[in-house]
Amino acid sequence: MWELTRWNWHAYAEHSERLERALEELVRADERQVWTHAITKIELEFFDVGVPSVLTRPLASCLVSAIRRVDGAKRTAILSFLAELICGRGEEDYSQQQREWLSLAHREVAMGLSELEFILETGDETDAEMCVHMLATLAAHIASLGPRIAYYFGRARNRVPAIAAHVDYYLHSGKHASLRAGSDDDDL
Amino acid sequence: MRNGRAGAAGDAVDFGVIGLTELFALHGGHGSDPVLTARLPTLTEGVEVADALAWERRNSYSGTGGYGTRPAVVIGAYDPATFEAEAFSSTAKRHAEGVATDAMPDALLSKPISVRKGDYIPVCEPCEAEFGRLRFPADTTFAKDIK
Repeated sequence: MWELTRWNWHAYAEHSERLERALEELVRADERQVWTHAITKIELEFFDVGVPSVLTRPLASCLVSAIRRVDGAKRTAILSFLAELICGRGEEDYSQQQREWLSLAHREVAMGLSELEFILETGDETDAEMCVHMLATLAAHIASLGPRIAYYFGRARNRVPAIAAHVDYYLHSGKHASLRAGSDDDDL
Repeated sequence: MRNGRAGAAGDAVDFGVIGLTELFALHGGHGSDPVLTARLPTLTEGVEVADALAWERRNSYSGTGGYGTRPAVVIGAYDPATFEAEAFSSTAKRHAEGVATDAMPDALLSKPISVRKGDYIPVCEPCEAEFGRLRFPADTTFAKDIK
């Protein structure tokens, strides 16, 4: 996976070759036990239960690249891990540095926006729901994405009624004002 | 915050805090009369109650309300001196193990549960260093062992 080699892992962390190996294993493995073990290794050794670190950006970027190569339970697990990384759990307690790392990760994921939108358009309820959480997070942090994501949310809530409550929550939440900011056609 | 008692002689259950049916089920079904079940709970039983409370808390996060507001990990704690059991959640600054032992310094801990995965996760190395292995159930997995 080219995205994996784009990052100079050694510049980010000690023992980073183990992270690179675990990511490779995650992408390549077909056996559930192997890829779940790879995720566990990454989480335990390099991530503090989703709290942002200097590695959040490269990892988020690699996970976005990985989701287009996998499907089924493995894609669900990767989406779930990615959501944990970028959705900013306990964000109000983050340091300035942690906020910056998270913001950089958001920008990386935003470059793969269409991957998440594709899953929203075609994926099952579980995968679509995780994309709703991630896309809402992106809209909250990158306001210019709001109208585009709001459009996809409107389509998704009709296609997958089971996620309508989540979509509606974000559409009406004060933290996600950009989702109500009109349409991209306003620029015409 | 919901908590429970694992049961003590003459005071098997703190009614209204944890349900009798729930507790009897955890204890293997001793019948419906609390007097007949009045005895000191084993440590294992106490931690099982704490674990059940942790699962209950984990399952309470499955609704809407924003992914970012869910904690990463929940854990149960049981204090054998007071028979109190309670569930705790991790924060952005403190692992669930730390949150639990800050509140209940002498507590035994259940296995940590990932809210996201809906499954037990290994105890990380810093938590093992801080709290030791003996606070956790015998079948707990430790990160140090799975490299």
